[in-house]
Amino acid sequence: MAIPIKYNWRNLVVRRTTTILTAFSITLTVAVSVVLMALANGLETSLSTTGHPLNVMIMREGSQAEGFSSVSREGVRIIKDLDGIAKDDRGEPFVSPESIVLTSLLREGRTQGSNVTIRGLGPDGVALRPDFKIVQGRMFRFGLREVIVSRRISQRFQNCRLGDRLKFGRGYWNVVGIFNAGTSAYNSEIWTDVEGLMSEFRRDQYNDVLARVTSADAAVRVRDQVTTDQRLHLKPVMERDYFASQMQTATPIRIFGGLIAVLMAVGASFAAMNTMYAAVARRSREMGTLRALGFSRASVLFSFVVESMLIGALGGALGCLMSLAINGVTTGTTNFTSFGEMAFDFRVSPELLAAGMAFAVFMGLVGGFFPAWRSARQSVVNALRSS
Amino acid sequence: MVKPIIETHGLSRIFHRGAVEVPALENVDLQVNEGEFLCLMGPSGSGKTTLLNLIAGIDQPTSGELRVLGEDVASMGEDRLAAWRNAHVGFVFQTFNLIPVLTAFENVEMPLLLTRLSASERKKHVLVALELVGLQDRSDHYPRQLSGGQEQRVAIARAIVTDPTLIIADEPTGDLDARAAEEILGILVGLNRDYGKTIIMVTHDPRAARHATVTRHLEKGQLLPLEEAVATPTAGSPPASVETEKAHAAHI
Amino acid sequence: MVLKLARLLWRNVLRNKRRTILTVSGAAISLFLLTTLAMTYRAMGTPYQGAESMPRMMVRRLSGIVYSMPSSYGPRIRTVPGVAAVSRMNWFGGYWVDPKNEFANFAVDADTVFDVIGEASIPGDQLQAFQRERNAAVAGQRLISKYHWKLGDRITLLGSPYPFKPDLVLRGVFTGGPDDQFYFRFDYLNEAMGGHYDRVSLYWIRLQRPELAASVSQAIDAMFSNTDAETKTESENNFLLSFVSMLGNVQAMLLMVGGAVAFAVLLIVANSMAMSIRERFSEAAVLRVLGFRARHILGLFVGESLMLTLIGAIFGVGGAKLLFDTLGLTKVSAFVWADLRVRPDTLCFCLAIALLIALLASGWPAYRASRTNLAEALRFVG
Repeated sequence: MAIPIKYNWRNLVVRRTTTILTAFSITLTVAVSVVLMALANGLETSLSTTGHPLNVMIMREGSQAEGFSSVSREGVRIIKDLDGIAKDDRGEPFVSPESIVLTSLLREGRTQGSNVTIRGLGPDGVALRPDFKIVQGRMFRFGLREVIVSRRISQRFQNCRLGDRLKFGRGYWNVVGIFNAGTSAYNSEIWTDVEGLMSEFRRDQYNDVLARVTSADAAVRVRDQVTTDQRLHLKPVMERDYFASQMQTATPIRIFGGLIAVLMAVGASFAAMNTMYAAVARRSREMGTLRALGFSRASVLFSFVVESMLIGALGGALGCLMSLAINGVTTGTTNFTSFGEMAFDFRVSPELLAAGMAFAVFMGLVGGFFPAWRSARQSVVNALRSS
Repeated sequence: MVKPIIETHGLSRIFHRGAVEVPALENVDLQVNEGEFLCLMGPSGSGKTTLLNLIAGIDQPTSGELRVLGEDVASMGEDRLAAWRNAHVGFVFQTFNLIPVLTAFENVEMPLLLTRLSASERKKHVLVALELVGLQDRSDHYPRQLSGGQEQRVAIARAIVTDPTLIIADEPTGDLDARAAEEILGILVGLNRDYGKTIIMVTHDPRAARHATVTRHLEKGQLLPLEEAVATPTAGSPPASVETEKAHAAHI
Repeated sequence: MVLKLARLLWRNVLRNKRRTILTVSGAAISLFLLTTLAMTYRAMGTPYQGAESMPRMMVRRLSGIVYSMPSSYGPRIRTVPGVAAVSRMNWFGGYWVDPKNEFANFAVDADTVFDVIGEASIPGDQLQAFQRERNAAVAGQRLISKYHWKLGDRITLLGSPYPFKPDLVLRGVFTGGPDDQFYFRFDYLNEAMGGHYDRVSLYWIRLQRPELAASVSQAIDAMFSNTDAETKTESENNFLLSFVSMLGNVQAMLLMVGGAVAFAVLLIVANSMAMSIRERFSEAAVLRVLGFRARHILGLFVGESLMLTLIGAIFGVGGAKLLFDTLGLTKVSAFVWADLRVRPDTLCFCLAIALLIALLASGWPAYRASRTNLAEALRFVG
């Protein structure tokens, strides 16, 4: 026969002050932990879904990143003729020679610039990215100094709104559209046409070529042809693998977040322990009475642990609620391989919230266990005698 | 020449519980002379504790006059009252109220910390007080190491250590067994008889009342005249006349 | 009076040992965390203390540090009025033996680098060796202590983005200045890269006087403004800060977490004090009957709160200082270098926060206990 939970609830309400103070300690711990993990989540998600499974990125062999690679015009011609390259709807090889430029732009409200990736695409470039969508304005036209800006960049940087004139290279460019590219790395870029970009920066070599292959087998064939061709000195990488390897791991953030969570949890558990020890001492005679009436030791132990877990649940619920405020908020960091800005959103997933609640209830459990044990161990006689 | 220690005229105290007015004390005219041992009795809610609190300066009256030791207690500021209490009033509670983390010696010493006495001077006074209640051997014991009666004795020592003129005791034997109660009452009587302390004691216990020199009754906030006290057989009476002693014994 | 009541105050602290230990430990752990966060925040704002007033600046490509400048820029920069010394400086990015042995290593001009640094000292013969021998390297004292190197040791740098592994000999140790850095010679780099390596990442310059910063930076950037390789000249501190800024909104994050942690300490202490004060409500009333004033009661309770928090602070804040002074960390994340130690102003700040927390935690209940109508309070007494 268990002691009714109503009894615990009433006690928590009567001792409002200490319940609130204790629960709020747990709230803060949960909120901070969830927010930091949401940051890690967002960072990992932003790079995890980049790429069509049949897209191949062809770069100079030995290059770590697109930015440090180069492919000649001759190289592009050879690639277009490879066996296994798919055809676009006009029957042309489905490839896009591309160029990357990093330029320093100012974030809103800052005086320090951040490096943003400007990508020049070939005519098939946009079609090769299935998640691409214009959300405002229109697509850029070739040869007219027009650019489109990803939504996240346009939110975070100055002069990147629809209709603005953006300065980079040797002059100004017109922002004619805002785009969204799913949850991929392309969401932190500004796109224009590759020939316009190359002439602006006086380049005669592309950085890399993005190509669609017809099938997984075709990918293998293309790889063999590229690596064995002596003229090329190129290497192919599946687009997905390329971005996966670039992925800024969120591990440091998870470790940092984990440490903070643990330290804060210890403090919160200690607060809960204090509260429960005091509760146990104060209700010693009550518990003795209940035992005398026939409730078992186990039910006394259970009752106090449940009470403590209730405090944890209260604190956790509030903490999860508070952390929801950060969901979807855009922030950014730098991809230190390409040195380009990488914008991403905080992501508070349902799993994270569930973990937060479990964490909170666990803190309550830890806080309540020893005091509850103490209460259960007391003999009925001593309990009844206490003041 | 009888000197009044306490004089009240039309003393009243009304409590406000939300919208309701509760008259705890109504129009009390009381005079307590130096050297008296006054026992205040009455059912619960009759205003005994309220009257004590007013006299000790712990509470303010709603109306009426109150002079204690020649001072208009009602008009003194909080700080002055505290200093005045420290010097002139000793308080004994039903539940002893010793500080558990201090030894008997340190508990008795507490009121002296508010004076300018040096540590050695304080020590002298404390030991004298403890001797008076017969606990000088237990001065380094903590309250939890003492019996109820011993605790109350320490409390009395604390109450007299500043040599106050007035001692106020609120149900001092309420939490004690018969033997300890007798001890405590004996000490109080001794303080009154041998040291001339004026004592006001509130009690339920008619046997305790027997030790007093004057007994007054309160009922529903009003002080009953002295005569009525004599007529009622259950009341404690001043230990002066033999007839009342017999009547009292006959009733028991 | 304070001294007379000190004994009672101390006994009250020890009254409920379990509660005191839990409260002090909880506060200590949280204050340790707070100090760590405050230290990091401070380091993000000023990576190296004193850097703001250094008369040194960095010249880099305007488009970004991934781009380079030609070596011909060096002598031209030297001619700008106000420039006292110039050195090329290329980030090498290698590690020693194990990837976790990461430190700042650069290829520099041995003839001028110490003129640029200014406040470092290196023995004359060691400097000469560095300037004479092609594969010589010098390192700062902190680095030497950390890795237990000795003069004459062979140091090989691995894992760099540059496609070679320099095989160097430690010829000098310098103290003062950026003593967690490592330098080898630019001509060694040039040779390893084929002999015509003309890509300079940074020019490190020293000003004749700090006040000349604005005019010098304008002059240098104007000098190269219509070329293919436009420059940006900024103070060393701003240069370091630009990397911090690249990390993202770190400071905002630290503030948020730090604020939450500080609040958490407050809750831990406040919870403990609220319970203690409630339990001693009647005791406070009795003291007031005996003649103690409201301020004495207030002092007893607030004093207790201060004692708990301060003991927690000694362990927490003090512990953090001890730990980070011992670790001597210099790397926050990729490319973000800072002096990660608890600076004196951070120490004072954290102690002040602890003090404030102690006051706030007990303020309200202590006030109530000291000032409630005495008759009311005594109704809870016998």
